[in-house]
Amino acid sequence: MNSRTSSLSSISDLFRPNNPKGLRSRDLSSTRLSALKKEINTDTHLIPLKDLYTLLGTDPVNGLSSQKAQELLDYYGLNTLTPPTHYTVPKLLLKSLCTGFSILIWLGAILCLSAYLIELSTKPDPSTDNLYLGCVLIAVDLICGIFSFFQNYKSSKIMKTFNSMIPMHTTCLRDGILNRNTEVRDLVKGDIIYVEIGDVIPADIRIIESRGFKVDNSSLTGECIAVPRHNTDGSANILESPNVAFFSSLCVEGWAKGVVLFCGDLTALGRVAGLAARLQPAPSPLSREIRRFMRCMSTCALALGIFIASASMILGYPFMQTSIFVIGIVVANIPEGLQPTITASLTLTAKRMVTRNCLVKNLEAIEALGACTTICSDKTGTLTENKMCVRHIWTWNKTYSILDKEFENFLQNDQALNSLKICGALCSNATVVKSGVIRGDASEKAILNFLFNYCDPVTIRKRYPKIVEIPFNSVNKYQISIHLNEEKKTYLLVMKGAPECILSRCVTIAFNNKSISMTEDIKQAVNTTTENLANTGERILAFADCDLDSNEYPLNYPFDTENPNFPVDELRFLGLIGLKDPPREQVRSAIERVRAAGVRVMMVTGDHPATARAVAIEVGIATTPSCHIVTGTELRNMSPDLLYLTLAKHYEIVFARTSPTQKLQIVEACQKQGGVVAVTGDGVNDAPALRRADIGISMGIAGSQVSKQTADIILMDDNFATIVTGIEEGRKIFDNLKKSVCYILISNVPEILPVLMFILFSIPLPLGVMTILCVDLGTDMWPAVSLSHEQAEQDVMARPPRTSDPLVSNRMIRLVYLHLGLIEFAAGMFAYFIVMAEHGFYPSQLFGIRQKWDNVAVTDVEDSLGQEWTYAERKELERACQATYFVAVVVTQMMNCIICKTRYNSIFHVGMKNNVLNIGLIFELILACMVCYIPGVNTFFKTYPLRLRWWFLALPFAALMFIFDEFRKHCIRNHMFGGWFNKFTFY
Amino acid sequence: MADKTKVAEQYYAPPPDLGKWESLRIFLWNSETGQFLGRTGSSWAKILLFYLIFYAILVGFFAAMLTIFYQTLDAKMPKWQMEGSLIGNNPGLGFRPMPDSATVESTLIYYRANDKGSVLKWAQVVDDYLEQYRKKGSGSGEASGAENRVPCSPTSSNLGEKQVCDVPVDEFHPCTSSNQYNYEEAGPCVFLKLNKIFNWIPNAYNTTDGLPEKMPEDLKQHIKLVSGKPEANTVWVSCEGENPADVENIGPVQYIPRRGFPAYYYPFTNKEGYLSPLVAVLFEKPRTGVLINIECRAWAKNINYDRYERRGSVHFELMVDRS
Repeated sequence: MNSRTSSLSSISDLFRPNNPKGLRSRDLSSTRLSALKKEINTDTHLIPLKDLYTLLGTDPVNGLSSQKAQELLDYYGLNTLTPPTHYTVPKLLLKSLCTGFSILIWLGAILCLSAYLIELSTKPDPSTDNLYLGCVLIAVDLICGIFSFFQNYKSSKIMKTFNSMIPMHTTCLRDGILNRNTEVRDLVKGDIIYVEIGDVIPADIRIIESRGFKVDNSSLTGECIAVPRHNTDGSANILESPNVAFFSSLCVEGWAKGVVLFCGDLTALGRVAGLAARLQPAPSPLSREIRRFMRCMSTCALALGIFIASASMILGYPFMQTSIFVIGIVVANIPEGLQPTITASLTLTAKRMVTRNCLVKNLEAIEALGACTTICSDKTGTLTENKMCVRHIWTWNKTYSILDKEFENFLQNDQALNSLKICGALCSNATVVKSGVIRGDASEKAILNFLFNYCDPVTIRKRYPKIVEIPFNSVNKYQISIHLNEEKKTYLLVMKGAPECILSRCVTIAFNNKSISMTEDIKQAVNTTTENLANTGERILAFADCDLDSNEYPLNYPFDTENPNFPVDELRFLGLIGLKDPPREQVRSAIERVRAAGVRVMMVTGDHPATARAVAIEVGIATTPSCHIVTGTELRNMSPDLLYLTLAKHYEIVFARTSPTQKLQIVEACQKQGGVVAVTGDGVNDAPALRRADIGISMGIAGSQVSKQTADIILMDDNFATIVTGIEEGRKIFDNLKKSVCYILISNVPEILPVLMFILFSIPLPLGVMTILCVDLGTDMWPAVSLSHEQAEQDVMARPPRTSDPLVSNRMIRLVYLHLGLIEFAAGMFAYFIVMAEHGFYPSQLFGIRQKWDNVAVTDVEDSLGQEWTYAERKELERACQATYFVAVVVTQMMNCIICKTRYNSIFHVGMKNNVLNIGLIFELILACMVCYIPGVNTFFKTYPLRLRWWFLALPFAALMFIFDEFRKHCIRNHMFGGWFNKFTFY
Repeated sequence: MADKTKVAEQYYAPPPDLGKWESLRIFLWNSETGQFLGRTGSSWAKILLFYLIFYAILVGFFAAMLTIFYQTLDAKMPKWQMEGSLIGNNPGLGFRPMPDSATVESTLIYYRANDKGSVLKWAQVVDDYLEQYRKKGSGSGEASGAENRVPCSPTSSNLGEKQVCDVPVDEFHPCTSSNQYNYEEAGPCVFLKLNKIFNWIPNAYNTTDGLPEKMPEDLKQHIKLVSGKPEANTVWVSCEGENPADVENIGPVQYIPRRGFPAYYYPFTNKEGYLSPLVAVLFEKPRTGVLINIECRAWAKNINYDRYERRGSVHFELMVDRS
């Protein structure tokens, strides 16, 4: 007792407003998070009420004193949900601006600007090249940074959504005075409050007094069923305890008086909210890989840059020259277009998904869905429709399934069924509103809905007006109403309730047109049927009636419901109705497909094990009746290791009666196994799990606001089958992203190598930094993105989810840097040499010419044919050469794009059906023309209006590239050379 | 479950934790499997062979393409000429001696007149440059084509197929090698040359008609003197101080052997032994101890001038110390 209270006080201390332990705000947030992950551990709902009053220092008659309430309020803070400590906007912006390649680009920009400043201070007429380049680099950085900022900055609306679930005012007893307008945020532990129908419970309360009090706990359990709550002994698990009502639950019937046990963040909902808002979802597999790859690339670029810088410093180059080297190396090494391409590809896929009723909130979730290994699905509302339906009807000797085609015939002919229909229509509190909408309890709604198909319950009700009724309560477990038969002027008693309860009150049973007396055999038969149906997850209701003798009960007989003066025994048993929340259509086939794609599907539900098992079997989550079921209670007693072991041992698992925290535990355990976990859910109780999962999937129609807010993907049609589409698209986009990345990386090679040639062999720079940016962020972009429109090359759903297949594999790096990239480089250098040679500089002349060439003081550099070139003329020639090199890269990249369309198939087999890509190629060409020919643009990018013939220089190399790659793919398909190419270059 | 793990343990033991250096060493050379850097020798050999073949093909293709392309080029003549080429038809000027272009971006000729070493340094630079002009006799090595050189004059008849005009640099007195190009006298010679552009022919100011306004007076006078004569067919040269102070400091200027580049040296057609004509500019008495900005211009009807792009002109600084 003591230890519990102390642990309780320590967690409540954590949520005090004035930062009790002097922790830094981030630390406090994470400490709170770990505290929230633990299950609620309390006994305040178990101890006698008297002890509770003493513990809380309250009094059930007068409530707290205002003074004490104020003290508590000052100490523990308001009864609200505390938002988590987040990065502030500037901090997050700064973080986005300094991730990945950004730091390197900043470095380049700083170098450019400082080089410009040096030039500005030492030379009378400094060239503005460095200034421009610096500005362009800064612009690139800012754009990329702001891009990723907006992607990362999903403002924490989660807490807001939670807070909107809380009422403003409540009725509270303090100093013996009942205040109907107490502000909910002023409530403290120990307050005595009153709630009545329509109220939202303002805190976690223990019921002291109640009448017909029913609450809808759907926000915590996900089950949309009104459950009765009253002052009785609690059960160990506070979430299931019948004497506790929770914060944010809606009171749907009756009223209650209760004492506040927990406030604000410490309530059951507060914990869910705190978890959902504080949990950081694990980075998606894609972003993990991109980050890893970027770190790799940046390290390489930086190492090379530092090496070049120190080497040129040692060799005595001036700072200006060194900075030019380093900027070139850094900019050339970084695939600037990578991040925008991936984002654009994912955005396009997300758009396509919207047309298929799948709203993607977090772009990377699409790809994660493709990589997903486990789906933890909620039951109610996700797999099932969250709507009760009549599935089976039993009358003596016969079970009818309403799905049976001949059911209607049976219904016509069987007299017992008719009685059952009348009974079902009468013994019900559900009301039919105009336009056929039915209001009331879920099962009564289901029965009325069912009856509407075969007869008109409204007319039946008119023929039998209701005289009195005894409503359902959890002690009696039945409901009785007495109706007047207007034709015969007799009274009819109808009764509905739990089968065992009704059966014990019946002496006869309806069989066709007569009644036969109840025997043990019949009772046995009823029990068996009940058991069978219950095992398939159906909720069984039994019906009985009794025609009251008109002599004994004449018209206007005063029926007394408090002390029944009419028979409640010796009734006639009519039959059973089995109700069920039916699985959605297509779920079964969808799960089949998902499982065929190697994805494990588990059910995690707050519902009863039997129902859960039945649904699991019905939808194909469990294929054997003996599937492993873990209940919340078992889970509570499991160590993390045992849970881990259970997950490893059983492939088909159903988790039943789980609490929100346990859902989270299950997700985390799956993730610990290395799985990529998708969680589907629609309730508030799913929010922490949705948030933590790699992919949180919520339902668009039935889903709660909170679940939609926390989810990454929203299924607009609530159709589980859409997930299959999602997985398919996710896998396709991953394959296509590989192609895009490969395409982008290849152009990196002809960017890095010329800079190295420039440094090592002292040739005039073959490709300028501006043109590098032009390729990376200009001409390459559209084709790279358009590769995401490629059709899948093979059946992506026929293979297991990728586990060790990275986005950028060694094989891809090998193919890019050692094969295709080099061909592009050769094409570029060829074009460069040709233009030089046509103007008189033969290749042999170029090596070692750089110092003279770039020296503005030298006005007469001699070429191989004796002509002498001034600085301006040389630089113009250099621009022409760089432009030709650029065009060569563009032309080979166009070919490369065609090559990258397929990883495995021959391009002749696939064809050029991707029109986005075809237009992209044309666009690439037009863009290259614009960069070369528009005056002003070409001076900015340091290109040159080229002669037509120079556009064709790269063509032979493009052809070589194509032939090589077709050969390579041919070898891969046929596994030639002992699978050499498969092992080495099949990415 | 416990049983299962036991069974598994019999077959599988996790690899012992070797530590960083040990695992690196094994990565470098794994004596058990004979793996070097994670691959066996035969695997490395295969890789080597593959890349050898692949790169051989690539290099071969590259070379073949270059060779094929070279068939379309003339070994003696640029494919693109004059306006067709990026070099244009507007030659720039060059000067000698230049500071070492490999290390500094400077056009300053600075020396101390009474420092022998300093004088010799600059004289050596000019000597090196004029080396090609002095080569006589039958060609061997770099001086090949020297036998084609014949003395030319404005009146001499057309040259033969292979003949080129000689530039008699040893007759540029006092700007001769033996005189250390007059550097010791604190009146240094700076050699000017017009950039060679294939097939470029000057359109000289050979009469006083249409002389540009900005042309220095003394040059106009000179042109008036030779107007109409054959020697008027010359690309004229003028050197002036850039700023008013420079104009004062520069002192008298002499042009040796004449005031420009005679037209008979043109066009340059890359004939063997061709020499670019030179003008030695003798600054007789530049003020010592100050830096003088000098701009020399070439004058012809088809030479445009642009100071910023250094068209038709050259800029250098001169500073003579006499301590």
